[in-house]
Amino acid sequence: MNIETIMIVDDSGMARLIMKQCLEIAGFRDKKFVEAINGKDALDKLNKEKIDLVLTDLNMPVMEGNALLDNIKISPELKNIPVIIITSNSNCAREAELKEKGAFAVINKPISPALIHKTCSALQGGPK
Amino acid sequence: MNGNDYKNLLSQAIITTIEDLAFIQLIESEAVRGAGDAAGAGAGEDYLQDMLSVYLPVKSRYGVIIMSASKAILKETARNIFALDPDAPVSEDMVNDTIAELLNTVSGQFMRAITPKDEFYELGLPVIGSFEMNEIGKEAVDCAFETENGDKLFISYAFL
Repeated sequence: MNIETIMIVDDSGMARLIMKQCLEIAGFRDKKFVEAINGKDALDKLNKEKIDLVLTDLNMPVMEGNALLDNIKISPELKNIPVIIITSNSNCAREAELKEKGAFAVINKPISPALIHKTCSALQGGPK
Repeated sequence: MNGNDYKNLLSQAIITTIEDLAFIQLIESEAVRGAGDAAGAGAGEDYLQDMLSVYLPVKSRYGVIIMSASKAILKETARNIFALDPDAPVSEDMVNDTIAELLNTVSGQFMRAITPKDEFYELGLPVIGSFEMNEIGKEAVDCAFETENGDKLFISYAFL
């Protein structure tokens, strides 16, 4: 899978920056990043621009990550975009539920470049 | 799980998060109920307080996690994460964002540790304000920390 444009969704500017830094260290330095501040903002941008991968938080005002995941997975145009959930609000039970809904992976905060690399390598079909 | 278990898990969550995210070492100090409140040691414009509500399914109870941190710690954290110079100015928005993200991350680690794996816990959104631990929870766990510069951070968890 070829990843050129990555969307980062979190209401915290600091969290978006941490995700971007981890992605860059994990090997995505030359990629395009699109930021969104909640699920609604993300959906608006997803409908205007081709996105290859979405990383999203769960707890956000206006539209939560759960609803964003649902909207992506029911949309014929968006459903094939892999969604990685990055959150403080997940344990084994929540992870199973999110994967059942179509999330590719769930990563607990605090994230690290190693965790992002491992997850994205699996997404791209094996270690880089 | 008793009060000491909760205290150890909460303490571990904050130490790990601050070290991983900001490369700041915290030293645990003696905790006094309400020390981080507006009326306590965390008083004044140099401190910021943030509260996040939590739901613990195993006890069917709501709770709160409250963090009070010196702005010096929050500014140093922001500078380290944003890769700013040591004396670069840090805006109020960045300081607010920093305490909210720290509290969110710490609360997630703590709740994950105390919730059975087959149950769901819930986190609310962080709210910055002025809170009094003495008025919030009778069943509470309090932790206090200092940096090597003497800057203080307090975190408490209380069942409502």
